[in-house]
Amino acid sequence: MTDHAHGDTPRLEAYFCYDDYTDDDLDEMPCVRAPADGDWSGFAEMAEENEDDIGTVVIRSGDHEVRIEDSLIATVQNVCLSAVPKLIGREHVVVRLFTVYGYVRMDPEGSDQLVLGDFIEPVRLPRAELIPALVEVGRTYLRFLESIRADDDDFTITIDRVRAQLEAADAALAGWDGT
Amino acid sequence: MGDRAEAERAHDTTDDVTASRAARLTPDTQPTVRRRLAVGAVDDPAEHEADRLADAALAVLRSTELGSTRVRRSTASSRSPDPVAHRRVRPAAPVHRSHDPAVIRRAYVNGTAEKDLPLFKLQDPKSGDNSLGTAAAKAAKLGITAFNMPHYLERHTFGYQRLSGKTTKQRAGMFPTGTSADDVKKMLLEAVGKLPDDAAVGEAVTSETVDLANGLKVNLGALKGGKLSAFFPIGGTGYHYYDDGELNEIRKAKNAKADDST
Repeated sequence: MTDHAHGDTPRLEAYFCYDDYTDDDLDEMPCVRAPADGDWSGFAEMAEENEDDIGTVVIRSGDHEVRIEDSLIATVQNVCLSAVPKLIGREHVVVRLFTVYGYVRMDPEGSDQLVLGDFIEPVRLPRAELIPALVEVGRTYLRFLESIRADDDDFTITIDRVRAQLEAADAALAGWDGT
Repeated sequence: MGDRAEAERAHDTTDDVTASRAARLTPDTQPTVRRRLAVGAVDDPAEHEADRLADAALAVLRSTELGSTRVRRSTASSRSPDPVAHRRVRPAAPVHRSHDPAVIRRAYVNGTAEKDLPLFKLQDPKSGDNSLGTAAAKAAKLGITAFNMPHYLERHTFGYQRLSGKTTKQRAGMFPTGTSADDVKKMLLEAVGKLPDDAAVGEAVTSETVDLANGLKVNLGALKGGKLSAFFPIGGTGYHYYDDGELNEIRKAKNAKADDST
């Protein structure tokens, strides 16, 4: 168990990276970080080879890191967006992984959120930073979908769902005092 | 190779990846770069033994009806993380599960995939195919619009695996050794038939667990609308789980083969 050290710890950051299968190289399998500048042009080729948007949601705070490797379609909707109203309501959240058997669990503990699960070392992260950061990951993924998947009929439903979940998460955040 | 050289090699590879992409693409390499593993001697007896076993396995794959012979490994100790030890305890034949990429690749290219091509094409539950039985009606009721048999076979079924970066990166639950494409189809139809009537397939990211009559537990999942993207075992008799260690073994064997051939 690791604890988030309050006070001088660097701010929490969360982002997703996207698995690159284009070169079929078994030795190097990079997970490419979502671009900060919103330019997704380099992702179109990768997306063709990654039909379920397999990638990793990464949450870092100080020396602590949570990595959720799964389909981003599932992780973003289930962990980053639809869980937000429950997290704000201080409910326990348990999310099932999609591509493998396993779970992610998030429990409120005072001002922290305990995050643990299969393939995830338990870590406590500050709720006031974690929850908005998760929503931003969802917002970034929606931009990815709108840029790369908008013409893919298979993703029409997904884009609509993510957009609606983001609106609900933003609404929940707007009324939250950060506790 | 020394540790420093290894580290530099890993670093160089990372730079190559970065350079091969547009500069704005930032590989999240810190935790995901995997160092190239050490390569054994060209005349390593273990490699020769592996080649013999691979040939034996392919002979079996070509001559034996998959599903008629089931090999069950019952103890954790038989799953040695050491590939050499693993080869030594492996039975001479039949072998449908292997860490040897040559076996995996050739099984896909020359083995059962061609014979089972019609099953690879099983994707439309509304196709009118009588062999779908009552599962077709259940699929329609739940909003399942498509199956994904190629994925179920290439990712989760020994003897049908497609050797690729994707296949060897993701952890995966595997159907028991000897499971045929027709077996997968039968299990799929049984599982669909046993999905609860309120399974919200098509309405959200869905994941359901079903107990099959053969003792396997399977997960069924839909990511995007009603396409049943996921169907894989999570437990039960003969179930096997490819963890990071085994996936590393496959990559290690592939790298050793590639380096031997140069």
